[in-house]
Amino acid sequence: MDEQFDKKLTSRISEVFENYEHPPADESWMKLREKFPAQQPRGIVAWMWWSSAAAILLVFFGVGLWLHKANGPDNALVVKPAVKTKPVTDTALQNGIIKHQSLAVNPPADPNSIAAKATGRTKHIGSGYPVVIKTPFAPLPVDAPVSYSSTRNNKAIVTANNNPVPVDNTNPRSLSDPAAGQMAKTAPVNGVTTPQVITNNAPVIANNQPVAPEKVNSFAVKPQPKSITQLLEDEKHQSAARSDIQSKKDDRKVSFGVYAATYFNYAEGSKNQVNAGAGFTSDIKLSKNLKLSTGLALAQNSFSYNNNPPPTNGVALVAAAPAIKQQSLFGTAAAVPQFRNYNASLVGLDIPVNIKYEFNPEKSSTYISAGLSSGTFIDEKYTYTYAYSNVDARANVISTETDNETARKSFNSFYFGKMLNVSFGVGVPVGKNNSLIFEPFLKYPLGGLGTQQINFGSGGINLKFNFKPSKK
Amino acid sequence: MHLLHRVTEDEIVSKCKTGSLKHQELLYKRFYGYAMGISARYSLNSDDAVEVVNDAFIKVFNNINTYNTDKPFRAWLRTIVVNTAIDRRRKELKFQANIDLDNAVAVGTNASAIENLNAQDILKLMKKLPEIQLTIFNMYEIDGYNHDEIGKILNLPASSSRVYLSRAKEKLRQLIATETQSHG
Repeated sequence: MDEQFDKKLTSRISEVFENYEHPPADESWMKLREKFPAQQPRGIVAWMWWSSAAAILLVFFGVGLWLHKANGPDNALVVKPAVKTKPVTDTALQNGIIKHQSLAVNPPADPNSIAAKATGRTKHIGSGYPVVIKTPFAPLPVDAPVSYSSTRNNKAIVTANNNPVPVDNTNPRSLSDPAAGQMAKTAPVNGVTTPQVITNNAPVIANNQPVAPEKVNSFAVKPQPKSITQLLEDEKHQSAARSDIQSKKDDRKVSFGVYAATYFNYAEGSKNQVNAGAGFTSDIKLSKNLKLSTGLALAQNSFSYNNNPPPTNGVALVAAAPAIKQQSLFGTAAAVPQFRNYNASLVGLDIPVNIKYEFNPEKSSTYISAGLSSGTFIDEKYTYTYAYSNVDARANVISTETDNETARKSFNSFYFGKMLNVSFGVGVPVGKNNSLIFEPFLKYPLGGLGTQQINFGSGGINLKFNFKPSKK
Repeated sequence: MHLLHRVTEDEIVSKCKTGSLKHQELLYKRFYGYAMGISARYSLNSDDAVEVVNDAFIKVFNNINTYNTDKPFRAWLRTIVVNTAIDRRRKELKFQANIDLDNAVAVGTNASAIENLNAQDILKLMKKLPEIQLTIFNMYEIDGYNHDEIGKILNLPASSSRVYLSRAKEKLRQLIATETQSHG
């Protein structure tokens, strides 16, 4: 009999505790979180560490590219030799030996460069005395565009008209030889105007009797003065070369911008909400028309769902509203929770990586851009509004009571490449290196974002101020 | 009325394996009642029961990657909760094991009274058992351990486990009889 009693008791205990339910677990969960908080901070610390490392790498990469660009073109354009050879030029006119050395030390770096072209011409024209002609020209191309003046042209024209006369008094190369023209162009850089150079040079050569008086004569014999058309054509070439060099100088590798954005957030089932954001961008030049554009933006996103919750995958929604679920299970029999409203507000940090195609980078700032965004949310706030209908059958009265449940998260999730960015920009120049850009954009979600995996996008306009850092 | 989407147990567990805090919370709240049902039987009061449950869930979260999803999660959780409850009381249990062996009283029983016992009634009765008897009764009768296993876990001979179980049953019979008489 005792055995039967024991079996019955055991069976009853098992039955009761198998289906045992306990009041809501929120308080106990908070206690557990106090005991077991380690994993959340670890996740945030790891995220912070990785994002800091990425930001530092990005900054170093950008600065490195910028510095590389700042140093690179100077060498290619042979700017430094031009400055260094200036005193040699003066000396060269007095001593032919030094001119040989100078030529050897400073050969033109690029056979297609202006220096090479000028040197080539001098070979032909100054064949009688190559040392005197070649030496000053190697560094000339850089200086030439800077000091090319109408004064020199006038002088050349006048001198050309008096062709036979100035042979003895003025260096004929300055008239017939484009290379001599090049030499004249160096004068303003050195603080001396072209006519002075020509005038000064002539006596030097004339006085320099031991060097090669015969060769001086050879110049007098072979002057080939250029026509006005040729001179103008030369000037045109020089001008083109000058603008080319100038544009290369202005061609910075990295530019920066700051912007403010106004936009609509859209998500299925939600009313469109107007929001704002701000950020900065850096554009890294990849080729003539292409740029890699990245940066950081802070943006507010908000959504409002009436009567229907967002069509999420369900996991997030249930996870965010456990308290409500519990209330519905353990509430009074008459109180039936009914979903009324759902609001979400997310403040996000967005890191876009876009490829920008500029239609005509030299003339205008019109471009299209596309890419992907990654990021996280600094603050996520989800508010559920439920209504409880209490039915009083005796009084035939239905009373409604609303209840809000709010869930907040911070840096809870990181999304990688889950937002597609498309934009179109039109710029207005402001000053020499700056521009104001109007950029309509569209952000299209490639997946759910945030703790509750909401599929949302945005569309609006960026007002962007782009600037190029000044070059030292 | 909108029905909230249900999330499967496998889904929650797999997300917990990735360290998702929200799924840990979901898992905790889904199985909290079940875990409390086990813990309450072994504990002296509700605070103690909650402590046991929380300690058990910390073990669950720390070892979730070792959980074999082919087996029911409830069974795994049950083992962890029982072991946690026993660990918590191990010292007291060992002490009581030496002083409680000769405490048997024979009483008459009323089997029909059992049908009317609810969770609170059962807990109230069980709390009147000495801790060692309570633990062994729970382990053997409800959670399915045999005496050898109990002996190993509680570090006592299997024969002692049998005696304690016998005493526990007798005590419960006595308590139920007393309760039945007092209510009428």
